[in-house]
Amino acid sequence: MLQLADLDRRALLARTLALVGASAAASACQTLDAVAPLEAGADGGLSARQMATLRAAAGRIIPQTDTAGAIEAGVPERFAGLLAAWASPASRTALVAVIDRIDALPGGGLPFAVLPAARQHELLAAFDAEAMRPSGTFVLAFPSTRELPVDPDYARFKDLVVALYYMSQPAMTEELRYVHVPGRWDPSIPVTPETRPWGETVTI
Amino acid sequence: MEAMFDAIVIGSGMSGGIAAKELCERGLKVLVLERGNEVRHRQDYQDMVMPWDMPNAMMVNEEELARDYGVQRECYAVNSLTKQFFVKDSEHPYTTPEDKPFAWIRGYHTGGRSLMWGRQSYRLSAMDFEANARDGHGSDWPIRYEDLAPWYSHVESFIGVSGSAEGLDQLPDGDFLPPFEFNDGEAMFAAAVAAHFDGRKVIPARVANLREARDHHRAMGRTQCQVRSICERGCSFGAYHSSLSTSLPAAFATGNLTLVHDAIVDSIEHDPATNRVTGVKVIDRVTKARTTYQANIIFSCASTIGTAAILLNSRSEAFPRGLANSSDQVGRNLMDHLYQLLTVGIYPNGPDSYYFGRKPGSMYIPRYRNLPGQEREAFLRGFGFQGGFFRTGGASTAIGQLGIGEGLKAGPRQLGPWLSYLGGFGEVLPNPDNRVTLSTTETDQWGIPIPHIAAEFGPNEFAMIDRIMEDGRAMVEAAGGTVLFQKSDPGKFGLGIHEMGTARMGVDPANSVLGQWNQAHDVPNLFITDGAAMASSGCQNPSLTYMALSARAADAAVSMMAEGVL
Repeated sequence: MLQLADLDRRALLARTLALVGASAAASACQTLDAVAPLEAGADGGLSARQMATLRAAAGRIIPQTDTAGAIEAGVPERFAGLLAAWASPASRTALVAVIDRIDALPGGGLPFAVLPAARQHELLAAFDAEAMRPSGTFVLAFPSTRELPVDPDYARFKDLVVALYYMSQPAMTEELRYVHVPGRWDPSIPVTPETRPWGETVTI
Repeated sequence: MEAMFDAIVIGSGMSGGIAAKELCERGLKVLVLERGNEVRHRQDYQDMVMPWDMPNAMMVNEEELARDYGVQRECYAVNSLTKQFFVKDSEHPYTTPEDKPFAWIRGYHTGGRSLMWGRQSYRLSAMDFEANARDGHGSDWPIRYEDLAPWYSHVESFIGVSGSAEGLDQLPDGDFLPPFEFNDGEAMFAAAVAAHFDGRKVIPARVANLREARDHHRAMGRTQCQVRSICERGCSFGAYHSSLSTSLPAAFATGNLTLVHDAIVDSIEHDPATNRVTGVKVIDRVTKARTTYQANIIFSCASTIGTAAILLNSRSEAFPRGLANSSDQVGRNLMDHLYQLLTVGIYPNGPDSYYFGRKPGSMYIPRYRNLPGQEREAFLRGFGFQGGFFRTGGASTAIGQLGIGEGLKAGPRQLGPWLSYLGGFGEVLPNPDNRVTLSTTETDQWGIPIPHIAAEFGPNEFAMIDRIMEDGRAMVEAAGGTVLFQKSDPGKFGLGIHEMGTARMGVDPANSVLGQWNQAHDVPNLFITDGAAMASSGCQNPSLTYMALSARAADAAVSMMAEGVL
């Protein structure tokens, strides 16, 4: 079982809001939005090199194990789709810039995408540890304020990769479990070592 | 001139659907005017879209969201599969004072908000109908619980409400289908609350979802709830009540219903010679062509703010302040519920079990303070809680987490501790200064003055919030949990999506708009049965009461017509 300290409050809040439904705290949704405020800006697409970097980074964030990873689940392509169809110009610029910064990690002059997997992991893990570090900057959040990571653009990039993965068919049906039409409510079933959580839609 | 219809119902939503059904079933030729576009039951739903096929991972394009859904985006149910059920704020403007923001969450289409509602269905109690008379706030309801009780049963049976009989005076039982039972976390919590707090009870949520389908539900093509918890997309199984799945089909089945879409009501015509309303002036949403429909009686079910706006825009020499507004109460006393007052708890030592399915409602804690005979609190009226329990684990445990790789991926595979949420819903007092008026300078694209909405919570509501937060924390801790966070900011007025009170019922025509049959004091063939009619708000979700009032008023109106009174 996960320990209390392992649970991120923001993630739990998002999960809570998804379940609260009619009694949801809509202003909390605003709070989540406020973590990455939007600005007007330019648009942009992904070059082949940026797409390769995105693929490599997504694969390191959620790697293939005994189940599909982000690459096998089609996350890079879906991420690129979001840049085209969902992101505002400002968001697109910020997210593409994150990809470029990952590509610029010190790989001995080589693009991030062509580095050995172990080296990619080493570099991105170090980048992640720095980027997700609390910044000392607080924003309005549950119950009063929440501290931003030092790199909110990277945090958003990573959240999108993670969310796209866990809403993919391989993740929902193999990594986790999902039944679109349960057809019945069973309020109590035993937990076994094989029990895995239900897949769910994720609020980002 | 002979009327074109026996009755016109303005609005096809929660109240209008029931009013139309009841009038049609009593033999009246009924015209329903819907200001929005047509939505077809089943064909226009997105409930069979799998999560991995959802456009933009369920997110609305950011620029579109900012441009068109500046208010609607604050509703939890707005996403890429449901946005078409919410108005574009850019097309339907209203104003507020800068220091009094109001979130008006709306859907203009067949069935209105009955398509996206939360489905929580609770009766008001005797205590609620007596509250105004007891403490002097608002107008005395012209009816008491006993007057509405049979109509609650009538509606509950028709729409299907799942719940448990509890024998509580403050939350009367109804004609229920079996409830969605507690999961083990909720059962643990309910036992702890019962053990630690006298007179407090946790009960299964009462929801308008078919836990089982009775014959009359199946006869309408409805089946039992499939426990998917994606109701806001529309339900192809017809397993929850909406006007599309339930009341409008019943009305159509009589052969007496005409439903016109894209019919934006400008105003209601009044004949001073007879003191009767005679017709409804309509502007076509698309062509902007003007039409007047005539009928013997008119039901306004256009929503609390919509009805107020129509009445205020129906000025005449006889009613210079707006139709049926001799009391000057039209537009006043706008209420909502205190909402969003969350307590989230976690239970590391909860029962190690799980559940199958995503039930459409979890648990409810009926009001337990300021009940008759109890010591008085520092505030009037009361509050209840909606809430539920779920096991952590899955995708959300990876969102926002430090780290990458196999370690990050391992977390969501594990089943975590139980998490609970408790959301306080508090009664808001009627306040004549919380008011809808019409702009004197701005009109919408159809030339109709736009609403100006000015409302704020008062000292009684803020006093209640303190108690809601204290009680939420105490219950979590009594059940062995730790409070993860609380939210004591009620947020914007309107986000409860329970607008009420702008044409209130009352005994005295001098300070109320409607009498005991939801009939305008000033104009006998005008009936208003949406949330505008509410004289007080209770702390319960109000849609069931709107529907019961609609059915009761329709029955009364037909009787009056038969008796020649109308």
